[in-house]
Amino acid sequence: MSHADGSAQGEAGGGEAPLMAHGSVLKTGILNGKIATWLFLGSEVMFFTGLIGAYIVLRFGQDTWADPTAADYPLNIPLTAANTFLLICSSVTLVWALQSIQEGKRAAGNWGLFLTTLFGAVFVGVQAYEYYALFVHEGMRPDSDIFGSCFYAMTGFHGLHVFLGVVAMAVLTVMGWRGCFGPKKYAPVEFTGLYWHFVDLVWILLFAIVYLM
Amino acid sequence: MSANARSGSHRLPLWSLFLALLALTAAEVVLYDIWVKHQFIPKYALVILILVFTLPKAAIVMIYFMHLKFEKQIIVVLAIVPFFLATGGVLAILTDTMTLKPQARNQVTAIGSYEVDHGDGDGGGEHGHDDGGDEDDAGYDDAY
Repeated sequence: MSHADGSAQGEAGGGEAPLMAHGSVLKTGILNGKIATWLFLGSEVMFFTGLIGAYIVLRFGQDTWADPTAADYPLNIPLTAANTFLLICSSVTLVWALQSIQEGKRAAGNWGLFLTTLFGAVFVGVQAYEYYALFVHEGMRPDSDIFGSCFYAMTGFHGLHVFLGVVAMAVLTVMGWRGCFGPKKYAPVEFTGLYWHFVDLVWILLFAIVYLM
Repeated sequence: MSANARSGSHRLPLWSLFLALLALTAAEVVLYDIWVKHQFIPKYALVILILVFTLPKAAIVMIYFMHLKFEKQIIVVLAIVPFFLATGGVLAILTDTMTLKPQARNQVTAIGSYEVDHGDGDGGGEHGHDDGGDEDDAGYDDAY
């Protein structure tokens, strides 16, 4: 392992390096932070697989399940679809922010980070409203039935991840406005972005599995 | 927003990717909505169709937004291996679940609704739980 000096170090997949002031790289030429982020995401894959796997197995083990064609089906699909759209938008604004920072467009990068934070916060807010409506109006609670416990476990843990991502994005936004990022110093945005895109990816799967299937 | 975004030294067709994600999500929801109203195809066919729309969305996020297309091989391996392990694990457990006879599946249902069916007090709850465990064991014995 060698320590980089901020001018010539690891590269991002055969292209330009995500330069850091005090980053370090492995012999592979990849920043330690990127390796660590991907290892963390690998553990997250297994975590959500446990939840999704339990959901699928429990569902196959049941003869009856929440019926989407029934009049009293509790889930609000249009609202959740709009929320899914918001999360996709947040991933796009984050890609835009990173690209802007890499190209030295600081203001655009800061706005991209701010919009990502905003979209993420609205997502969490809409999910909180959804939970309120399910609890109060639909009477659907985690202890109502297996569907309820699966639903709250899966969407709740995902929501917690989004909330933590929003906090991280808010910190990055403040750092951005303070001028902490630039064309040669954007690794924190890229690494946090990997986490954010992963959370978006998990939601794409959860939306299909929990809400549409 | 610029028309293209960059990953490292690579430029992404950002607007195209955004519109593709949006269109696939809209298609999913419209398909689901039509199915709920008319049920024109069996449920398993709906699931397959939704997967047809969902998996490309997941692939777009992984390949382009998470830069896997442009990463070194070791990163791709780090990203792909957990997904294969996860998918394999779920399929393995799923296979086991599908070997259960309907009787055993009903007993799983009974355990799931344990509080409703048997939760009439401490003694009753314990009794109900024991019953569920015994029935579950019997179900597995039958299945194998």
